[in-house]
Amino acid sequence: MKKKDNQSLIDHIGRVLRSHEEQGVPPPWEDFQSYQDLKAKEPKRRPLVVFVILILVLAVLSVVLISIREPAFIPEGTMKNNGISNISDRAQPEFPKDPRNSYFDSVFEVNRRSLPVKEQKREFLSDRETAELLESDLPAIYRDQYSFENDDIDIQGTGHKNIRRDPMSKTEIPMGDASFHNRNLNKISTPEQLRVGNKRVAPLNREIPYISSNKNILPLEIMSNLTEVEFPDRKKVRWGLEVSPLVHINHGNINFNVGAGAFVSYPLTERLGIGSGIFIGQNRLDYTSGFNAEFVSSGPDDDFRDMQVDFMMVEVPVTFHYAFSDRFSLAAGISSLAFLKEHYIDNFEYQRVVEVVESDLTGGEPERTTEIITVAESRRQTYPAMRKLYPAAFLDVSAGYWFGTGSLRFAVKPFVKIPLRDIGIRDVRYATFGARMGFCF
Amino acid sequence: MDIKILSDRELDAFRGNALQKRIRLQRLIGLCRKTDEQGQKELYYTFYGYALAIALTYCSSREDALEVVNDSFIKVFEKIKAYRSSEPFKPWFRKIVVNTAIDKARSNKKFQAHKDIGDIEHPLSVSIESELNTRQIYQLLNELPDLLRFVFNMYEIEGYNHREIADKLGIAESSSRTYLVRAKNRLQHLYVKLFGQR
Repeated sequence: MKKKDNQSLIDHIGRVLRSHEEQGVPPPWEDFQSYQDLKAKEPKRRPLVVFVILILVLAVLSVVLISIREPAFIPEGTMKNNGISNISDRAQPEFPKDPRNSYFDSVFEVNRRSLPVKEQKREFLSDRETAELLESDLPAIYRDQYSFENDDIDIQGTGHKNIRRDPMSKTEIPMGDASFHNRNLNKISTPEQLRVGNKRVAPLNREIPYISSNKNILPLEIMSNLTEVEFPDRKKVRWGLEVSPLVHINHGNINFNVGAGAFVSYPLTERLGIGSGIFIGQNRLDYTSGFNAEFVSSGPDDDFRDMQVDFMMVEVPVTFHYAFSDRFSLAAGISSLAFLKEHYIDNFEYQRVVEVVESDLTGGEPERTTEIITVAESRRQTYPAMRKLYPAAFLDVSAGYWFGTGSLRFAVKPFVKIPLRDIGIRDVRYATFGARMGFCF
Repeated sequence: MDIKILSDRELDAFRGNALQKRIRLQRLIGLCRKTDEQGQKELYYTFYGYALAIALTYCSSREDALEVVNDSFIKVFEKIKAYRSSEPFKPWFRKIVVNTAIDKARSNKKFQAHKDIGDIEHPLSVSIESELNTRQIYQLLNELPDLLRFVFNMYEIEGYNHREIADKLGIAESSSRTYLVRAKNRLQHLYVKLFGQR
């Protein structure tokens, strides 16, 4: 009883409000018109502006990432392709043979496979540590070279910055002496003769600022200089172009379309990376249910049959990709989009009673009858481009197979895009399958 | 409720009147689709009272309600090309007004931040001895916090379910249920407080 009483108040409120209309004279139409004009002048949210800003941010980010040049290991495959031998997992190039380089033979032979990667990274040594290293470990030609370029450091402890010590004669030569600069320095520092395989490589950086504290590792700055010239693979950011057949699926309808775009990817770690891009896709689908019918256009007798959507959309995905190997990768991320074209085609089917006049071929009176015929009609509704931005519209998952060598690589990436939200003014939702095929450089 | 059986003549008149109204409405809609100003003006005057009545149930002030009404008519004139003639116009129109009120409320930071809806009040036994008029109902609803009022109106008047309410208001479905119970209890307390019925 108590509950019934309580509900009666609620029911009463609902009953009164549902049928209520405010009485009184509405404000003049002109007031509404001026309000309408005022609203029209208000700055609206501009999805296009947001989209352009997003693209600009992406471009700036890419440029910044490209400009970052950090020491990186040389991919093993690239080393092999450039005629460089392996001495470890982080391979070193074959050094030019010179009798005085016999020191390196022993160094190259050291098996460093057991060393963790982190121990192989380069470190910056202090002058004192460098000097100690030079005195103890490096061959004479390197010590000599170093002292030549760093006379004012006085690393050899002569007490005179402008004095160099001749490693061969073990004598000190003051800077004013004619023989101070007249030295027969090692040949490997001569750019013309510094070669890897049959390729000429970059001039050697004689300052040797980076020397590993691990005595089993060569002065890697030399390596770095070599690879900068010879191995474009060291470039971190990859750009590419892709084209893809698209298979759209919704409520049992399957439609085929096509899309294309450009992408950029940046490795965050050895295996993990982040990628983005711009893709434009044609999306023409049949729709029979599962959309917002509120915006379906009026047909002749409203015998609505089905709808087709005709979208051209620009998508900006942001994905993380993980490389299982040199050839296989897996990527997942979200994709945001805006429409370049948003058309809806409503198909109607209705019946009409028509009069049929059959001519009498014998010259008699024509026979008039009525028939019911079925008429099909389509109506198209178009909405402005870039009307709205749909962030995180799809979850994009893809698997990649890579092939090709050198800087140009090809890929086939089967993908699935799972809708995360409704898109378009009619709130449509569909999944997309396909296989992106493209290349990157 | 009185039930009157119409005579054939009255029935014909009623049907004729209803038909005339329907024809007039279809004509207005046709004119509005062509962006005819006269048609828009007529539609505005015809449905102004209806729109204001809906807006007042959602808005706490008359000024806000008037703004919602104007915004709703702007939307109606923009979207009327997408309206299907086979469906009744009034529910379509009502939906637009309600959605406009919700949009306006959601754009209000106060509404967004409004999570504190007070303590749970125990339900009272209320019997209606004299039925409330519309003004009194508006007075009751205006005493409710915004979020409670919206949930109550959407559930009890518009017929939305809790999931739809949760989606539209950006709250959890369970919160919608809780708010509805609290709104009902609060209304009963307010009814007793304002109109002295127990």
